[in-house]
Amino acid sequence: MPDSAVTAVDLCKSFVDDSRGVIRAVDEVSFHVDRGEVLGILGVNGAGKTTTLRMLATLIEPTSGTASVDGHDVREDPKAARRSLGFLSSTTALYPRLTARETLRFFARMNGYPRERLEERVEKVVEMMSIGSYADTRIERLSTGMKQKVSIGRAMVHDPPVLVFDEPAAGLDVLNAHEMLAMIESLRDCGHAVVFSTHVMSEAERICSRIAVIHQGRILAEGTVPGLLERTRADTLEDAFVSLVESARV
Amino acid sequence: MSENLRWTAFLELLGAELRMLFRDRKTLLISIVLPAVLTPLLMFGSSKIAETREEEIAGDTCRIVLSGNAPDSVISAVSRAIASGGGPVSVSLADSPDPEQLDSGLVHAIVTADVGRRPVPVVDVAYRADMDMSRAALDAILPRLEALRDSTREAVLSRSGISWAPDSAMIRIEDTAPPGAREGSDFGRLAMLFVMLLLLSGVSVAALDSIAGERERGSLETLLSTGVDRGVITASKLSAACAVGLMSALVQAADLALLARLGFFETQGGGFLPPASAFSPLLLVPVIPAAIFAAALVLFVSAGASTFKEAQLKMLPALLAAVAPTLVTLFPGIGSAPVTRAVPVAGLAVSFREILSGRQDIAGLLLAALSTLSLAAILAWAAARSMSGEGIIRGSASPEPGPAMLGRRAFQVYGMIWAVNVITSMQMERLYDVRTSLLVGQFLILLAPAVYLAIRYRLPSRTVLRLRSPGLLAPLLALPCAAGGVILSSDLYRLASLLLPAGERVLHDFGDAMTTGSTDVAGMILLFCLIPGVVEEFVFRGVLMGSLAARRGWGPHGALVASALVFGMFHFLYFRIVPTAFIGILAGLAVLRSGSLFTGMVWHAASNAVALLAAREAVEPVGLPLWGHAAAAVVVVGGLLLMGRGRVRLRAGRGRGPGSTGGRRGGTASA
Repeated sequence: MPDSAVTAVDLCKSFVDDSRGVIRAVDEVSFHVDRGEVLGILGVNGAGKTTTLRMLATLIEPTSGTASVDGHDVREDPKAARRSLGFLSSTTALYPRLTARETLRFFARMNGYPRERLEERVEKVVEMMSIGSYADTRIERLSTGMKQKVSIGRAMVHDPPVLVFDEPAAGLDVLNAHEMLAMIESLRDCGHAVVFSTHVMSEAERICSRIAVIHQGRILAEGTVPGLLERTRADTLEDAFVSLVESARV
Repeated sequence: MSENLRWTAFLELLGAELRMLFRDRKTLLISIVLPAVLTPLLMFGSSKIAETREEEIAGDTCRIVLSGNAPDSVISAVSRAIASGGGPVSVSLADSPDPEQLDSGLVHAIVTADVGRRPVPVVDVAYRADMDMSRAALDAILPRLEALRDSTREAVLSRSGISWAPDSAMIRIEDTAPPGAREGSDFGRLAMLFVMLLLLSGVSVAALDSIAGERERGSLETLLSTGVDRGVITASKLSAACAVGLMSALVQAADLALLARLGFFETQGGGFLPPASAFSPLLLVPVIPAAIFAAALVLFVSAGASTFKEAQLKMLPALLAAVAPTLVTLFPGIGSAPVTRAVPVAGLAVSFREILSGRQDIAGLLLAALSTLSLAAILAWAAARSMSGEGIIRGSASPEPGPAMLGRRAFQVYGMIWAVNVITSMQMERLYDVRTSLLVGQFLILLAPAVYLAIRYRLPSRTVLRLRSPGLLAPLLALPCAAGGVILSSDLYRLASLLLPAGERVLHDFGDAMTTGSTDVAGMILLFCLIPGVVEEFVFRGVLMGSLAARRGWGPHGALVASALVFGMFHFLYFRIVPTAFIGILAGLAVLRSGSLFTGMVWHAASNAVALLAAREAVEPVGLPLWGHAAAAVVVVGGLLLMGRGRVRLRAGRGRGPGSTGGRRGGTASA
């Protein structure tokens, strides 16, 4: 898969817990994501979605296996891998005492975006995210939905080829979640490769080109929504998901 | 990442950190504004209160009651003498003065002139040392009574025909210190303590939040997901914290200097501050490394805490540890030793005091700055390492309890054991005999926590604690090696004494403690040799060295040196630290070479036995001829080499076949 923006091959991650012993949080996970594609990683809480995405973002190191982001191996060249992706999760927050515009400027520079094109890029993102009316307001004074928009802008301001979103709609109301999904669709249409984890079926169904169902650290199935429905003989994605998880338990 | 990008990222991050810090009004208020207002007010207030108090005391009348069975001529002479010096002193006569009047403050001193068995009257002065006016009364009347005694004695001697030449033995005292030097020296005793406290309070507001707080809020994870080096992130956070600490210190220094120039602190009584000329710009030289050290320390604490609250909790012991070395100026013996300059923070405190008192030792100041900056660099490096670990990410699972985890926590845990050991030793020595103190110290303070740690962190008994058979050769070699080691450690002690001399009295007391007490030889061997040999080797070479060796990047030799230094620190008397650490290195090498902790135990016990015997027989190793010292070195090095060779031979023996006699031992030693 030479053209894939993201590849993961047999990724494993083990933790040791005082009471539960060795936990294999991610167990031989493999997938790829092409440019202009959204791969949905669908799983219940604790399935291993966040751990997988944190390995892609080089925040944690794989126990075994490997992955690459835009051709950069996450073990060999983690800094280049990080510069090639925008990472957003429910636990990544912004600096409360910077304004939205300062936040975009700061993170663009942190990822090595050229100074001479910086202002132009920041203004473009402000326009894309429709955050102009509060671009000079401090983050601490924004609502949750506004902050999430700035967060998405922060993740894409350095124009990375890969975007990794870990449950980005968590905590958002219906309207804000709807708007956020629309943004991810537009990013996909602009040619970005997007890895999107969620446990909400409707979100996955709406924006994902392909879906990987993950459970107890292992990928149970991967394919398009119609492909998964056909394989499980289910009518809805939710039924297909439940069927896959139940069969894994047996 | 190229150097240019690193530098750009550093500046961007530093700018953002500072911008965010200064947008927080609480930071500005607590770290800069509040101290700038409160410190001069506090100094002015305490100086003013002292002055006002002196004025009040000087204005009040000291009420003195005089009584006694001495002849009237004596009573009236005493009364005249007390009232003679002028000033507000009133004297009243009473037959039997009520001591309660003294307690209630109605009377400030009771003077009694009695004639008893002695041929001369005795004048007693009763006063209350806890009452200002009573102390002032004593200060006023004592010189007058002494003058009366001198004049009476002179008159008696003259009447007896003895010539009296009061100026035959005059003593003149001359203070050659330049003006303000004494005040600077006195003020400088605790000046660095206040500077460190100010720096730490300023820095902690900024730096404590910059990792622990950000981790809690999630903004650290966002930052770590960018393409910036973790080292660059640490460096920029350190610089931001330094900037706040320095700014806070500079604002306050400028504030105090300005107010001093304006005469804000000048009082009629002189106050306790040195003159404004003592505040030289050179004072900034020790303040800058102190600020960098404070920033690195707080950043280290912040990086090691998983929440902001945990960081706050850890800050108290860190703060105490940081300011404790500044108290070195209170101990003249240690404070003036050349080696003190090489002790981080302590050297700065000595230099700071010297500058305040008008003396300048530039080489000493630079050494002090260098040692403090070195410690700051180590702390910053440790903070950067914490930042690169997975534990920095919120919600990451905890690593496995094992030797490596204990290795990471070893210095904290052994620091606590050390503190408990110091406190209990001082109390035990006061309350109980040497035997009880030693047994409690060895078994309860040292062995019990070490056994708990070995169980809690699941230390493997054979591979980490090295509780396995050493065979016969290594323990036999350890006996002569231990004797050689004692001679070499004695030589090392002599060398160390050049830098950190031990007082004669301290040495004398230590020698007494070693040789007095029980004369029961078997009991002494058990108490001073066997028990410490077994217990301390388990504690330091087994648990500590074993767990440190499992720590990433340390290895057995790093662990050997670190555990020996900790072992030295547990022998509280400062002149024992270097030779004891050396013995620790030798015993540790014996453990590593032979692969068995039991070899270290034999070495340690034999070493103590030789030292004890030498002390009892008053044999000084320094009295040996040069060839004796050389022979000791040869025995030690040769013995250690042979221990390793023995292990190789035994390992080779294992391969000779299942029927080989060396097979079992080889397997034990090389596992």
